[in-house]
Amino acid sequence: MPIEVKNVSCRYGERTPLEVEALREISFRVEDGEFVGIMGHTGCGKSTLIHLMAGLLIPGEGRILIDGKDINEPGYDREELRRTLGIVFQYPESQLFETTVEKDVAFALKHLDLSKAEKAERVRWALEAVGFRADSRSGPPEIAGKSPLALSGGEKRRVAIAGVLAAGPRILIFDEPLAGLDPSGRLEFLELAARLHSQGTTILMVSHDADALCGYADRILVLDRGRLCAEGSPEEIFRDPGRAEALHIGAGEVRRIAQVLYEKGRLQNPEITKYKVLLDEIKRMIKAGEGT
Amino acid sequence: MSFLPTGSYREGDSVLHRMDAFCKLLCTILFLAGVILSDSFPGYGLAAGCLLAVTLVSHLGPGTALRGVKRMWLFFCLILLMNTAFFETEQIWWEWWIFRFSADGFFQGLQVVLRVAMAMVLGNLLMSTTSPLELAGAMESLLYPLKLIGVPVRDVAMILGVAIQFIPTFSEEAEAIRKAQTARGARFESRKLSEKAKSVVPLVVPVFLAAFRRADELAMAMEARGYRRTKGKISKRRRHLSRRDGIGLLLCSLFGAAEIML
Repeated sequence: MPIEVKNVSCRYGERTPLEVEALREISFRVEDGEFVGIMGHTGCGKSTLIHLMAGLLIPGEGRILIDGKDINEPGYDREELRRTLGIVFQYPESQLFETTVEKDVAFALKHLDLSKAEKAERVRWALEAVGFRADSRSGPPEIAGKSPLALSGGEKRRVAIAGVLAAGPRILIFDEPLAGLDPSGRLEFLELAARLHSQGTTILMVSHDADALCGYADRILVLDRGRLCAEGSPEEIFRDPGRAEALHIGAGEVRRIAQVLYEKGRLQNPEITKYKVLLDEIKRMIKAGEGT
Repeated sequence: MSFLPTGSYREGDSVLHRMDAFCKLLCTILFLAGVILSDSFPGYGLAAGCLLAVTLVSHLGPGTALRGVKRMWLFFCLILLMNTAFFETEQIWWEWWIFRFSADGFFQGLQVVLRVAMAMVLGNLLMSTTSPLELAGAMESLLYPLKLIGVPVRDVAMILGVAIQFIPTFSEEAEAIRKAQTARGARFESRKLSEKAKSVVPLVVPVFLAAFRRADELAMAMEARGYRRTKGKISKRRRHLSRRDGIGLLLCSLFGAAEIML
């Protein structure tokens, strides 16, 4: 299911005084099973881009192909798109509406051709995937019977994500999934994304959190004022921390610490963007320091 | 921004835009009274001519002025038909079953349609040239006399102002939720009526929840910044009326008087 975005431009409020150009001639390709991060200044067109990819907006120009098929062609099966591509919006907890968690998660399954037992199994799997474990082997997790509105903020978000996972999409798009999460919630979410990725799901994640994306993404796209202005591995994107700052994406704590250590002569290579690698390097340094 | 509701504010710099909101509201009421009081075709002609003049002065263009009216065409046709078919009169064009088509009924219907359409254009002109906040302020001034009989005018105006201010926020929120639910497989795009009706729940429930949450948050924020019900002395903003406000009021009064005469 590769995604191809070809020469896409998009404007809002066409032929009015409020006309804004949100995206301009964007082209890129996402391969199966990739984890791609999307970064950029507020208002650079990130949300527009992912709405276009999910078929919620129609581009003014250009084409978006998923698995070689143009999703805006008249004959394209929109229901098929909804099944293969899941999108988790910013603050997804605001979309909960059913009386129980179970029903809410099952909402995405409503139009699927599945038996009751299969649906229940999907719901159970989705809730487990976001960390609600069942006590017994057969029954659903305890949370399934509760009202989604009675949960804490973090729980609500996980239930909302489960609601998207339940449909079993092979491509997942997250819009600012880390906004407003506490540190443990953030780590839990990132582990969930990594787990889904390792199971073969293609993941696109919009975030301002450079460290999070560096730790997990294979590739990062950077948007600036509606244009795709950089594309590459985290190491390439943050090779020059000054340039990253100029693109309003910040360099990330890890990369900045690595830069400082490099300038002090403690590191041979400053291009470290992963937290775990930096931690190992520092441990090695401490050990070496103790040795002398 | 395709979801801008009918009658929403358009920025501009015409005489109508620069008029004081309170005077504009008074003028609208006078004009409306004129439209309603007129009951002859010369009267309607005069009203239509004046409306056209006001529209030209507003720089809004006929499209904006007629917004909403076009959408009501079915309603207008129905009114016309009902009046033509059921008006009690002696002179009948044609009779069939319970229907009694008459020329008098047709003209009666036409009058109703003209009045409603003109009132709508008038409302459109007011809403399109006055920012919601100015309008709320004008309402407050207008309702001021009610204070004497103990109506909490300031609070009412505050509520109105807040409600108006939140319309764009809510329409944005509704749009975001609509997208989220569509992505989860809700069928808003479906043409089947039964599916359409069912798809309303996933949209309405979250929007209402968001509205309540926002109301709570706003109330808290207002309290935290020291807002409380004003009692006793009120510092009232003075309105600075200019010549164009006076001329506007004069013209509208003249129009109202002319309509009564015609």
